[in-house]
Amino acid sequence: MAAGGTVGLGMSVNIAVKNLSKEFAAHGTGAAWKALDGVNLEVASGEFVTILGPSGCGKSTLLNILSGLDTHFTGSISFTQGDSGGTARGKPRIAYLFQEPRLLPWRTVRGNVEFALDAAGFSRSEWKGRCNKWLELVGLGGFAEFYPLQLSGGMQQRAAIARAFSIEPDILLMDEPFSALDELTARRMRQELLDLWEANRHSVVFVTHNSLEAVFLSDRILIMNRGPSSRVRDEISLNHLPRPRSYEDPAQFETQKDVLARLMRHVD
Amino acid sequence: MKEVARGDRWVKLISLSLLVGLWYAVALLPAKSVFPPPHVVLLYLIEDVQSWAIWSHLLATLSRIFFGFSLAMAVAVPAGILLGFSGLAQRLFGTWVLIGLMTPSLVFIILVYTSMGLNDIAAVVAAAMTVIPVLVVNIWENAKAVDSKLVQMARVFNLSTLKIVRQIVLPQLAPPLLASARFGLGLVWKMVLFVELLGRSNGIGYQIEYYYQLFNMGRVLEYTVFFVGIMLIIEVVILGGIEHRLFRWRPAARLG
Repeated sequence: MAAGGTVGLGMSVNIAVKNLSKEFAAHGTGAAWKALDGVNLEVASGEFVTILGPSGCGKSTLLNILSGLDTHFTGSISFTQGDSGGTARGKPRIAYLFQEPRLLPWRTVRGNVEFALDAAGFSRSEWKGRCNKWLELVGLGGFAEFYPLQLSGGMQQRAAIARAFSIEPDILLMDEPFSALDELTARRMRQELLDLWEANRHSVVFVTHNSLEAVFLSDRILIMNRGPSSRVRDEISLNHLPRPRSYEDPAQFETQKDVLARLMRHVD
Repeated sequence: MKEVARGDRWVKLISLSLLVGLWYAVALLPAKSVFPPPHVVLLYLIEDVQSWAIWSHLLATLSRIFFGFSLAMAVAVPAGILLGFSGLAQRLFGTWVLIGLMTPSLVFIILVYTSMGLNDIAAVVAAAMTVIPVLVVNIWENAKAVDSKLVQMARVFNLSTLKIVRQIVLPQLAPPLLASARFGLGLVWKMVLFVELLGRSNGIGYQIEYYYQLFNMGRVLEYTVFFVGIMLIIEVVILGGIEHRLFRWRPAARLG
């Protein structure tokens, strides 16, 4: 599955992005939009990094490049396996949690998880066990045989989370996965996501425009400016905030105010 | 979908009675010997279904429809999908389809009969040819609407291209393809009757033409009612059944 075969299953990997730039050409006119201009960032193995920025800052573009969906860019991206210190440059196993669940509506919840397991190359004999385990962990144990359109938006996103974790990814990319949910549901699901991640430390790149969410979830926040020519403008470590975190913690609240102030500087 | 609401049933009954009433109204107008009322046609029908002749004509027509429809779909589905996904195919063959659409069905039928002879194979080919352009356009439009977000998702999860076609593209195309199939069936059976009228000596189309020559409108209507009834049953039972099986995943209600 992973090209080169040197990236282990379910191991976290380091991500290093150097001088990454990306231009979109307007159709016909020859005009260009420089979406990303010299992005540098590193994600340590097992680290939870959030990229925070206003809409139009190229966050999703960056994720599309990291995921391999978009291959037209300049600069370099390298993945190295965390634990052994090797320098494998093969393709790591990536899971992507989109803003919408992107489940296949014609397959049951179980079928959707199996779809990812199949794509990731897990043998058929493992499917049932993994499926049950992850659906149980996201609280959908009783809904395996339901079709996505029979479930609420929150449950659908849970199914997508189960699908993402079930393949034991090396890297988990998330593009505002909770932004379509109401705040109460989103809060619960952030906590559930953290619980899953604490138990399975994949490297995470999480994209959002919500500073509250960024502070609650991350080890480190990278702030990007509004385009054109977006790059990482600021970096905030959150190691001083112990986990598990709580929205009511004054220190966390102070940090969030600081993050928001620094974000505002790069919006205009 | 399984249970038809009671009110809905009443509406359907009223609608059907209105149609029969309209028929009576027309039949009772001056030229009543030409246009017989429904019960006369019904009596003809009851008399005829007891003999083999009407069934053998039906069988001839149905088999032409079956082969014509299969041939049309076999050409139109790949052609439509190709046109939907490939810009090159679109530029190369888009005009062919347009010309096909503009060519009168009569021309296709005459061309095929004169080049292949007056036989059953020619009849099937002619019927298929007249509907292929319409079906291709129909499928072509639908192929454009495949959700690229799901294809993207599948690519991130590293699904192979072959599996993307099988697991992501085809399931999305199934509903419009089924709609196209229904549409195509409706077109083919009308064309088969036309083709029979022009160059065969059996089948429902030939019978209708025969009684028309005799100016026997009762028999014309009898064959029409008989055939429309059979086609309705095929539509509802066979294609409706497939639809129900294919679209189980569509929600009846949300859980909450």
